[in-house]
Amino acid sequence: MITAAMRRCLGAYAALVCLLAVLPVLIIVIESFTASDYVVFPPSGFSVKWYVESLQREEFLDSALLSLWVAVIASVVATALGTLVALALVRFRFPGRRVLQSLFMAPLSVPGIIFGLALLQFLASWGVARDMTAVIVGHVIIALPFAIRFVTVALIGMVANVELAAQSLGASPWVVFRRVTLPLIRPGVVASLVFAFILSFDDVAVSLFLATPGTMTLPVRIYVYIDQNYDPLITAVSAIVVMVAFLALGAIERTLGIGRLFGLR
Amino acid sequence: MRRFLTSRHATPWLLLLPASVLFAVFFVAPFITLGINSFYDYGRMTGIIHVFTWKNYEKLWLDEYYLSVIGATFRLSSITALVTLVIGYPVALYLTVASPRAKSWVIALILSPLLVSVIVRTFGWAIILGKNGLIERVFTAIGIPGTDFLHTEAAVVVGLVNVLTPFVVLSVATSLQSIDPAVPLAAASLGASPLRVLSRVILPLSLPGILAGMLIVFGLASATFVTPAVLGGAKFKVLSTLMYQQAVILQNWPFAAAIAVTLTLIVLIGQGLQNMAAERSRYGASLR
Repeated sequence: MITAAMRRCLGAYAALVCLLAVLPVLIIVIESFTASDYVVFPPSGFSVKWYVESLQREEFLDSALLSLWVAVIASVVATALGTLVALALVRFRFPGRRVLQSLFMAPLSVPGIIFGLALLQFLASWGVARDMTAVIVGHVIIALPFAIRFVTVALIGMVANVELAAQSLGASPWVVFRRVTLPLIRPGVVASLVFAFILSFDDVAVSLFLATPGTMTLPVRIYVYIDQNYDPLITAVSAIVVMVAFLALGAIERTLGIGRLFGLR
Repeated sequence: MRRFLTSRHATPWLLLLPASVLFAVFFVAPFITLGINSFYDYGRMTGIIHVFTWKNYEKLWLDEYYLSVIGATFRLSSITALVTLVIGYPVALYLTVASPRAKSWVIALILSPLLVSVIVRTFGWAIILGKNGLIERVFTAIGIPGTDFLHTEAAVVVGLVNVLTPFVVLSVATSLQSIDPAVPLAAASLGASPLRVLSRVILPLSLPGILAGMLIVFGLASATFVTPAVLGGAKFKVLSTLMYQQAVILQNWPFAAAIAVTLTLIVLIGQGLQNMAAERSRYGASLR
């Protein structure tokens, strides 16, 4: 019922939408190689001077390193906790299971900026100073629903009988997990690690309220900078963020495919 | 106690313990604090005054200026939901007829920007729409100079649509996939033109996906901060940017908390509607 001509039209249209989807990112990367001292598109000339400049700016370097640290720690903690929760929710039946399940999924429904404000006001009301730990805790909580989901999918997909077999042959629960379960759910665990890393590394909303001048993650630093300035320096910094994201994307594509990550295909 | 801890009944609770403690302390308690703070008073000299008052909510819900901000939030989210639907629907339709290879390309290209920080994508639009940007260059070339779209509502809509279209595409595509291919074929074989099949058969059957997609976008759009802050400029105010201004610049935490609670309610109502729509379509499907 959909003719070949219609299909070609739809295809051309979809290609256009795809182009628009990646356009802002493309523009940033192209603009970052400009030789001019102000933002103008198309860029005039070619140079890497803004990359050189951005690597010499200590505040961006510090923020980049902080963001990497926060993302690494948050993704490892979220994946570890998420694996424990997924094991409990998939392998056991107990009262209150449903309630806990929706509690752990709740961060998906709450906008990040509101959670950030809540965490800020909570820490302040107890007189706790904001630092890197506060940002990490915030990121662990927003990444946990994804970690639980990825590991849950992997756990449901594996044959539970092999665990019973190992157990009946005398393996302790820890050995069963370490030698049987973990190797079988590895794709889910890897997906969780990568996704939580990207989520944390990209986050502005939650970090915005928790960041202090001394502990400012890179996306927040970019936001604060473009709030006051408008020059090509920040396009180079942004392009570096894009490259980190796409390195992670490549890792996902190689391990399980990006479409499946979002529940399609 | 010791026997309980080593028994099989204790295992799930031990597994859940670390995450539960983390959530209770750093997720549930902060929202309780936020709720309580929203009922406190505030003085510019004294800071937070710990007495119960409705003042913040009265100010937000009754004052003309703040009402207009709430209105602007609804307006922006509704326009964004509509535009994403119009743009995303044909893409979802294409996914149902595309070859597997084309399909995976479209999905990868549409979804990959989701992995780039929203601040970077928004800044990209600032370069496209702003002074000396791509749009202005093109318009100047065809003889219409001075078209700087940055810091307008339209710019914010463009940025939001770019960020949120994937959600509509995914939602509608899932809905389209569940349509029995025999139904549109039957309509076509009975003489309906392709356009008629689309408008009378496919469109109505994908309504659950349309509704879910629009509500997701509405909820996400109403609470995004970066896009309205960067592309809308200082004068364009929605609830999220107002909240940031009150909390960070004016330090009025109780009022910011009241804004946060209001915004949460808006998002939760949207999600409630979305769940209801999902329930109803499931109910309808089970009747068929």
